[in-house]
Amino acid sequence: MNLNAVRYVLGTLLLVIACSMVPALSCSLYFGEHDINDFLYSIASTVSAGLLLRAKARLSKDLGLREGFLIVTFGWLLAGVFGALPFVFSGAVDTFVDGFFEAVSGFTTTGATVIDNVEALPHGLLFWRSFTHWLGGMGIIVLFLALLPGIGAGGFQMFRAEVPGPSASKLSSKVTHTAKILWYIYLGLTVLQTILLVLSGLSLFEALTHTFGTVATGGFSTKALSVGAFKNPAAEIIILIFMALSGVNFSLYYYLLKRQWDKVYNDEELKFYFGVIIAATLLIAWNIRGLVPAKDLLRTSAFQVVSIITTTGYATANFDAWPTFSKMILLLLMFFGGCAGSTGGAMKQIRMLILSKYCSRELVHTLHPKAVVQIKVNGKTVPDDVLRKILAFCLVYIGLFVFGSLFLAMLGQDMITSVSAVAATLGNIGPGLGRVGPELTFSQIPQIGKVVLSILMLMGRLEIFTVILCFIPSFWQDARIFRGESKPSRKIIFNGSSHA
Amino acid sequence: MKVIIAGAGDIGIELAERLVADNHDVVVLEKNVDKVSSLSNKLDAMVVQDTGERISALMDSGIENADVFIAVTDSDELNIMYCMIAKKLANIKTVARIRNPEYSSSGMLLNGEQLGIDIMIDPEKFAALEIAKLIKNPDVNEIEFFAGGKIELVAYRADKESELINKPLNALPVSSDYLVVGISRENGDIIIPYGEDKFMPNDVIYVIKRTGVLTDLSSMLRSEKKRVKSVMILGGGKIGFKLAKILEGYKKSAMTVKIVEKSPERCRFLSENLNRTLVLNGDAADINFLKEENMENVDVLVSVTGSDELNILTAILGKKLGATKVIVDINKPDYEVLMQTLEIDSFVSPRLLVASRLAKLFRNTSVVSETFLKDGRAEIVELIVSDDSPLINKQLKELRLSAKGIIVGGIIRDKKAIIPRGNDVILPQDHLLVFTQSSNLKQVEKLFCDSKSAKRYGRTMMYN
Repeated sequence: MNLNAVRYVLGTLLLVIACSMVPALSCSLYFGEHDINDFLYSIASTVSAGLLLRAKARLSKDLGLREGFLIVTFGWLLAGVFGALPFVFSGAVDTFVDGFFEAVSGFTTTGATVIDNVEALPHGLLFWRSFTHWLGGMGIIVLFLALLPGIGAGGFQMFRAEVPGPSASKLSSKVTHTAKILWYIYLGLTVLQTILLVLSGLSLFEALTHTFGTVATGGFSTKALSVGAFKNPAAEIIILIFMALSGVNFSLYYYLLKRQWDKVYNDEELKFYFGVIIAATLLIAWNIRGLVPAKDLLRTSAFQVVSIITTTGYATANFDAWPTFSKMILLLLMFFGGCAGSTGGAMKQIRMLILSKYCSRELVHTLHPKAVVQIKVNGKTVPDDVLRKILAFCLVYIGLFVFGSLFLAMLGQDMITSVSAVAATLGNIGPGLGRVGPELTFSQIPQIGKVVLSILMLMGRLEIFTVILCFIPSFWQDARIFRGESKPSRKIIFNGSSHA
Repeated sequence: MKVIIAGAGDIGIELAERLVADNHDVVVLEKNVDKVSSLSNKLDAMVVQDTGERISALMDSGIENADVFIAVTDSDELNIMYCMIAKKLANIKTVARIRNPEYSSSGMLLNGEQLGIDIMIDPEKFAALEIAKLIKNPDVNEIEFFAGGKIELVAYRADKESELINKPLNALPVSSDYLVVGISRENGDIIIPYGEDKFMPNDVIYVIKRTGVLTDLSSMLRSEKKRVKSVMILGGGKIGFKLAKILEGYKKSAMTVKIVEKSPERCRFLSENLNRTLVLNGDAADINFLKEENMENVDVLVSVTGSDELNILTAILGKKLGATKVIVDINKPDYEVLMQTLEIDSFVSPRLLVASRLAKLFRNTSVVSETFLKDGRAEIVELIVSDDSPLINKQLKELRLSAKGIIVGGIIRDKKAIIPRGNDVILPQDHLLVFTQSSNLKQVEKLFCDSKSAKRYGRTMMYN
């Protein structure tokens, strides 16, 4: 274990986080509000902690798989801890745990909040909240990789550990180049949406913060009633479209830019994703047809569906007040999530697609015991080891969901609240149902519950195994079990399909 | 003609034997030493041991005065290399067996011209295409298209219950849509029918008609056309795989295709490369398994296991169990005569298909195409009538061709297809479809084509 290098990278990461507080600081300078000092203190403590970690450490080239996992897990933890400082110093939250929850919720693009009165927060803090989404959406490590050249092959391990979905695609032969491509696409979407939102009538501040929340599929709003507060159908439609776009595998945009239309057109996951969105929208629209004026019906239905399925968490309606059928659909969608390689969370469309194919294969096997059927995505066979990993992932995901729900119930939460709160945090969605519904917050959940939910958010964002691995003893003892996998030759190009 | 054949596999030996029997000068190149010695003992040809690594061996084989070079070794790459070298060394027609579609499909990076190949042959693909054609046209036993698809030759089997049994040919209503050109009897005879010839049970009746025209004949012979909904392929070898691939390519015709293969490894390959076909890992000889997989109700059963005996057995069994139509792949010529007796509807033979495809190479230039029927004992020749043919400007009935065992089944004139009657006239430069027994072929060429060019090639018969 090359702890020296890990310390170096983590220390540098803290410096990057400190830098990322500067835009928020300038925002509060611009508005001249009382949170200037809070940001100065936060930046100072983050920088000193970063320098302390970096002391006498040096980046060496041999960052292996285990170092990658360590950096990713602890990098995100540290981001949560230090990202919480502005909230804590400003007194926006009562305890450090609340601040940590808010920061983790921000970085993991969950969008679950413990702050009851959002609209009373100073602009700088609101900006910071949304900015954490934007940083976390594409991945702070990916950002780091894009900024820091020379991290070499070990970088791909981290990249793989952080990029959502069963596998990471290397769009270019150099991992830093790949990270840059992804960030350019991300930046492009951000700029485009901000301009459109400003044109639709939002102020630049509102446009920016909501763009951050949208392209990162986060969900923090500057309004207590979320996007619905604007009563601006044009803005709703813009946000709706960009949420849907952010839930798409970013590799596909790269292929679009390279004019490889057929790769996009034939992408099974994309078809599946839009199929689920359309089906859920129609079902919910039918179910709530009496509750919402007819002209808003499809928009309202589609907005909540896309918001939940992309794991954003914005709301234009209080869906907690909808009929049970609609709520059930939304709860189920919380498990689906965006496409692999998007900023969306949860289990991902590709896993759902492969699972459904797995089930139909079992059906065929029952009918024809001697049939040989391969599971294929985009015409390519899904190898058995990938299949196993996906099955294991889904089992662990469900296991964590059950465990988390039980835990919250133990703390005295009612059933709907426990179940939806866990589904919404583990899937990085944000608002749940019941007492954590779209118009309420997580503030009433006991402190220990908030800690557990924060960890679930981290696990959900980092695809569970990355986090779990760091806490099993053999991870620290026996290097050999990972050696087989740590060969850089396992860099497999992924286009939304089949490789891990 | 002088022909060099590289590779003494099944197809190579077959071609060599036929060419030698036809008095062509044949050189065979083969890398296996044992095969070389055994072959040189039984074949009246020069057999040279060569691995394809020495260009001098090609020079020694006398390539500079050879007319045709046929590369049929097991390796696509070696075949390509042979042809490239041959083209460089001499002005020669080259034929290569290419199985990898990446080399042979149109629009690929490398085409035949660049590779120095004039004709690419893929026996398994020919067989698969042939079977696919039969599946698409389930009412017929054989089907061939001519004149750019304007005219087709189909073969119907006369059902025992048919109203035409024991009726003479002239009992049929007069029609300009179709013409009965030949009848293959159960005992193996092929006749060019006269008006008085009678239909017998289990006859296979060859009819030339305009493509797509529904004749009253098929219904009278009780060979009804119904859409094929299910196909079972026994054997996932090259033919089985290619056939399944072709069937998948048909527009959503709701045809369910099952393919049975013994080797688990091959099954994995098949299921990886096929999308809509159900791949079953089982033995084609395991009756219970086949019954479980509902062999009784399939519309078409295709046996392409690689073993002639197993193919025949499973086909008979399938027919007994209730499969509507069975198609088998046969490699041994001896079995071909059995097909009619065994009530096996259709068979394909990659060997014959290749021979048919290559026959034109050794023919008079006026012959456009040559298609073998049955086991190669009858054929349809598409030819261009020469200006000095003794037959031109005469009515067909005056010519009394059928007495010579020849029948003109179709005339293509000014791009229009005519199904000729007795008073039609043959004009120079007509394209004719001539049905005849293979033994009459020489006569056909003499009658219809320029006699001088026929002489230049000496004995042009390749098959008898």
